[in-house]
Amino acid sequence: MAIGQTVAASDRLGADRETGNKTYRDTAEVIGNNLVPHCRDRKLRIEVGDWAIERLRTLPIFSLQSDLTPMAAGLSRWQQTNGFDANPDTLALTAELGDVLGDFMVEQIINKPLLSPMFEPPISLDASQQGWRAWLFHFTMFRPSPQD
Amino acid sequence: MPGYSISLCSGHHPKTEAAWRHAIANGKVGRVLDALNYLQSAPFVINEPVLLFQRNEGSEPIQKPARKDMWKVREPGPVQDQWKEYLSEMAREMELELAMYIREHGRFWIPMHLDFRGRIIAIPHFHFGREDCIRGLFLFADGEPIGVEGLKWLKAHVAARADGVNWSIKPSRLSREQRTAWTDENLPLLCKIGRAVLAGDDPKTIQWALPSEDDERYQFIAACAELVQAIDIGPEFKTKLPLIFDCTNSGLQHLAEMRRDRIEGRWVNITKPLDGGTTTSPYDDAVIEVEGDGLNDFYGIMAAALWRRLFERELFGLRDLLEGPLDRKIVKQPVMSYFYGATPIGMSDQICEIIEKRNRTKKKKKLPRAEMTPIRTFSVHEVDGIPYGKFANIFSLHRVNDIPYGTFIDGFLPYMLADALYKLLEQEGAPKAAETRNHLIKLAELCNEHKKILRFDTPLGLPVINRYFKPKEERLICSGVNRRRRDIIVAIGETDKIEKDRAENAVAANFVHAADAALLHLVALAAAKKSMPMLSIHDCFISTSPFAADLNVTVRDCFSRLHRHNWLNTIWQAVRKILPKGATMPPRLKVGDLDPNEVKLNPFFIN
Repeated sequence: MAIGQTVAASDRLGADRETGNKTYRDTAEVIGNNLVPHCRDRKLRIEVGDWAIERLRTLPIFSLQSDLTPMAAGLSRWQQTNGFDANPDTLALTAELGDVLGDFMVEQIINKPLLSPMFEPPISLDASQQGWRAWLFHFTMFRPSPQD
Repeated sequence: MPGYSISLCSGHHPKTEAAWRHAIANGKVGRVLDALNYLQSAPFVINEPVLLFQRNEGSEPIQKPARKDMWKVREPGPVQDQWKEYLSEMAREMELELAMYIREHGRFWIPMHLDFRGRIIAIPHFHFGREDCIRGLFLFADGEPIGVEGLKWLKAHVAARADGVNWSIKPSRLSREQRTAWTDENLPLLCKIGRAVLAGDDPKTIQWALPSEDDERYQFIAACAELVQAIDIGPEFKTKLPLIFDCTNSGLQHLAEMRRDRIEGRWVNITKPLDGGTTTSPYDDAVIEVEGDGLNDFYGIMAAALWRRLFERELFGLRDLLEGPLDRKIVKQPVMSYFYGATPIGMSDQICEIIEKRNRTKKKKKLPRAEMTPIRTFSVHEVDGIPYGKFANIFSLHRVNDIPYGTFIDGFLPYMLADALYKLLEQEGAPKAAETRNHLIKLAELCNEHKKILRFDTPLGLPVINRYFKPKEERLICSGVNRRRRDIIVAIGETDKIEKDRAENAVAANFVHAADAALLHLVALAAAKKSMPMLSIHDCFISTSPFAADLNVTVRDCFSRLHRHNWLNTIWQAVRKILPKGATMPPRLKVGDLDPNEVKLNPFFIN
């Protein structure tokens, strides 16, 4: 899933070396390389990548370019022709992923004490109250989650 | 509920932590913890009109640079500039979103911890010590009635923040009474700005009257908004605006007070003020004999002295980097950091930063930029493949029509300027402070010779350890671009060997920072007794206008108390204690006749 997101978001990964355009074949190859890094058979690596793309497409955050853009919808896919011709039908991220990542980022920023302030007074550092061994050098900061 | 553990000592120095553990167990640093507790217990709220103003202002959207050029980002040039601009814009948008979220929650607190010298540092990235656009968003949560005297301090604060406006002189150069008078003179315009901010008007309507974004634009509008409310409501208005008071070159203040030196002390306002209320006298010392309006502080004097020195040494090329004979801005940061142990290289970086910033502004206005690397090309002769010439070892050779040319880079101009400034400070500007710096470096050298670590306690009992060890490194082999091997060296700990250069270079900085930190601890404890709202950014002290006068007195009182005992003797004795008996110690430095209580008579100590 991680490599799927990386390839889909990248302009460079999954692109044809000569033309610089993203193709289904190269996308499948990059994903295949990550799944079977020791496989020397290029065709097999692409087939593994193709299988992985099919699995990724079952998730709501992935889609093929043809599903998103009507212009590319009429073009044949690699798995239909079973050939190595460059096909512009590549793996893409849907808007849902953007929402998921956006929410994730916001939650991380708000909950990280290194980024945002606290909404309740910090714990007072008082050795006599808590015992110096208990808190020494590590005072814990609790903060409510955004839902709370 | 998620929890985070953050070390009390930023930087996780194991030896410092061990020493602190011991000191805390013995009850030595209770007062330091009390000071920290008081500073982090202050609640804040977001300044809503200023936040709204920033959101309405909305600069033009910057286009994302091409991804294919990502590899060029590492190299300085237009691509790097584009990415820097784009990323800073993105970061600013994120900050504004975060501020909106914080605003919904109402009150918020900034947790803090200490660095190994005892300086108090905010933990979150969103804090008052940040740049102007973030600082302008802060208000204390609990206000106090402003009163008549408080209104005068607020007026002086408005003037001090108005330096960047193009319809007036720079009011921050004026005394406090003159600043108040400046605000009274320009009251209709300032009220108009304040009312527009409070009403949420389109920022374009008052754009012309505001300082640029490089200056203190948002603090200025926050001050104007507070001023108009204070005038409308009257002395009962509960003010929450933090007012900043900055020490006059705190590094030199500490060093001059330690040496009890009257001359250097007078430049940084730790002596009795001169007749007529001026803080420093540029005319009666050997440093400079230039007349001008900007010569009312140490930085102004140094700027003028640098200009004169460049003229004397015929370094006219360097004068092109300065904007006139009183370019205080370019000189301020390097001079300040000199007393914290900065080297010419460090000072050169600071000068570079300012010149680059100016060049960016000049580019927008289509003005010629200040060149930092003049390149001279000249012909050379070559015999048997070996180039000959005066500078044969420091130029690169290239051929045009079979004629060999050498390209010679004639020094890096900001470095040369920094070097000139460094020598000026050492020889004429502050020779006693330079002597103190060198004395501290000698003590560190002596410790290094005997393989000992220099360590001393601040007056509040916090142990400060000047510890710099060589790192324990491990080589990681990674796959780089196109599956090429790429080696990365990672520090995984530290060895027992002392890193001599760093230990010697850092000792002066650590010593002065420790003095700064001790002053802040004392002021925070005094503020806690008086229930005075307080914030700090190292050597800047911040409170609301009703407490401004009291804060000024408190800081001077604490400074005087801090320097009652001789810090230089403390460190000398600490070194004597750890070294073997036969070690030859450098002689103790002679001190002058300045009374540490004199600082109580000078209200210009913080300004």
